[in-house]
Amino acid sequence: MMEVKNVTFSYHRKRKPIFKDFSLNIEKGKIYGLLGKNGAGKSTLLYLMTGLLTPKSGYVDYQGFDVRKRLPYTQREIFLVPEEFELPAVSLVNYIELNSVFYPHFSKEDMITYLHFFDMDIDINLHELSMGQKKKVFMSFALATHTSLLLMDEPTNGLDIPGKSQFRKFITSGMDEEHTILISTHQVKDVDKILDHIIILDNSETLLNQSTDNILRHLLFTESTDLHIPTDCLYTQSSIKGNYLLMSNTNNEESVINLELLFNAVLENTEKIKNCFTIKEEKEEQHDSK
Amino acid sequence: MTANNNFSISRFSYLIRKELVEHWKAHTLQLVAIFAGLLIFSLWTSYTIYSDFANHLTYTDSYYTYCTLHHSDPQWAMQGRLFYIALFAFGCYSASLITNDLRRVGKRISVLTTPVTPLENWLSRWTIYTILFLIMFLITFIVSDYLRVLIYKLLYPSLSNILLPCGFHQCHDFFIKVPTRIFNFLFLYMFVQSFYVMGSSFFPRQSFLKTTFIGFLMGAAFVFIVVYITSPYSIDPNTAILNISLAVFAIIMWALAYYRFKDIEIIDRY
Repeated sequence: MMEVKNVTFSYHRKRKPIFKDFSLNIEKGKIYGLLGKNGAGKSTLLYLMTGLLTPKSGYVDYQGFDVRKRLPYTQREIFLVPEEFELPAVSLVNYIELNSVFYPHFSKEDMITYLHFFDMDIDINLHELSMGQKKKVFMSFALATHTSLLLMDEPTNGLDIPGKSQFRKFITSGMDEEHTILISTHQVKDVDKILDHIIILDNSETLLNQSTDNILRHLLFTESTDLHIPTDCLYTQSSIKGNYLLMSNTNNEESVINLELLFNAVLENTEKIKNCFTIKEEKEEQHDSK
Repeated sequence: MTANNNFSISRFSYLIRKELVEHWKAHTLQLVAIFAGLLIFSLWTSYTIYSDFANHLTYTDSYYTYCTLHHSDPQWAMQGRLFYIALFAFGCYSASLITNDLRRVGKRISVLTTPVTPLENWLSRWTIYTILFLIMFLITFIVSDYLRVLIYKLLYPSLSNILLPCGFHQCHDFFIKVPTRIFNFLFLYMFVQSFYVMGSSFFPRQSFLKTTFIGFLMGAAFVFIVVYITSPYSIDPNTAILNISLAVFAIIMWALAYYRFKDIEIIDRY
């Protein structure tokens, strides 16, 4: 669906590039989670994917078009919800009338449905809303445009406590096989249940790029009250009860993903985690060939 | 459904509507400021003239008779100057606002990700801040002029014979005495306005001041070259060539501003 092809990018000519020969493939019908430390280049990647920045070399391809050209064909299929955005001082009905005309798949009925997820109504004036409410309205509009690719930068920042759980329902309700959502966030607990695919970035490198199913097939997330840490444990992190453990899932056990644990483990023991995927895949291939 | 990646009239009109409605407060405020400025200045400058006439000061009597006979308003000369100066001042200021909203990141993202071509995006702004501004300025000037007449008719009913708005026929002398004058003015206005449009593309912040400063430096350099270096050869400028040059330069500057706009990114990197 979208391909980031050998992109090299730096904000200033003389500085170290944020991305060097970076490539990434985004597929249809998935909810991606883009994780990384501060300054890892998450927002920069989103800007490159929407044509808001020009790579020094390489390009971002959307169905045969270079997104940097900012052509209507790509712009109407990619919607960015940035961390920092502005809404005009008009009524929401007016805003919809003025902006929906640019998005051929926009649905007003869906917009109303999405607003209801956040306990909001269409008869509101945008200048009377708080920042969190504005975010809810903007995200509802973004989802109602039904663009093929929806990019969200820190979408749960500024949302109240009910807003965060409403957000999860809202996102899953707007998903189908034709659409893709990419969420860049630090608030992993807000989104861990809804992600289909995890991408972890660091130092212009993709440390992890795996589907959630694949991660759970290869890795086991557990919590132990025993102070003794097993020798085959890939990574451990203290919890209230004892320790969170990340192990290789050799016995195909079921577990629930812990994104914080995974993220820290990948940053600390990148090679170990990567090996975990490759070794098990090799074993499975050998088993299949037999 | 494939999108038209070339110029689309419908998208262009939607964009103009979006820009006008979403920024209606700012546009209205600017219009009110122009109207207030024109009205206050014309009322202020005409007050002395009309009060002298109303008080039958001896030196005004013959002029009063002349104005009555020729259906002429003694304020017209000043109104003509006001028209030219205000159009230049407000026109340049309006031109410097063409990319004003791109100063803020949030707004910049919204502008650059709207599904329109860069040309449609640029042309919609140019239309609003150049063409629509001219139309609104003319309307504002006419309304303020009629108000001047109305107010002084109430204050000095005895002068109603000479209190006349700037109509095309009556004040012909002050505005287009020589047919070419309006063209000279128009081309000069295009040139200066396009300079501010270009300035806005290069200086997103404090564009009006920075462009004025650069324009002043360039003007000073031009005068220095013409007066001190080429004056011994006595230049005899051909008006037609000068007008064409101004128009060509205006088009080049608008085009440069467009290409600069096309290259705008989320942040100004270099």
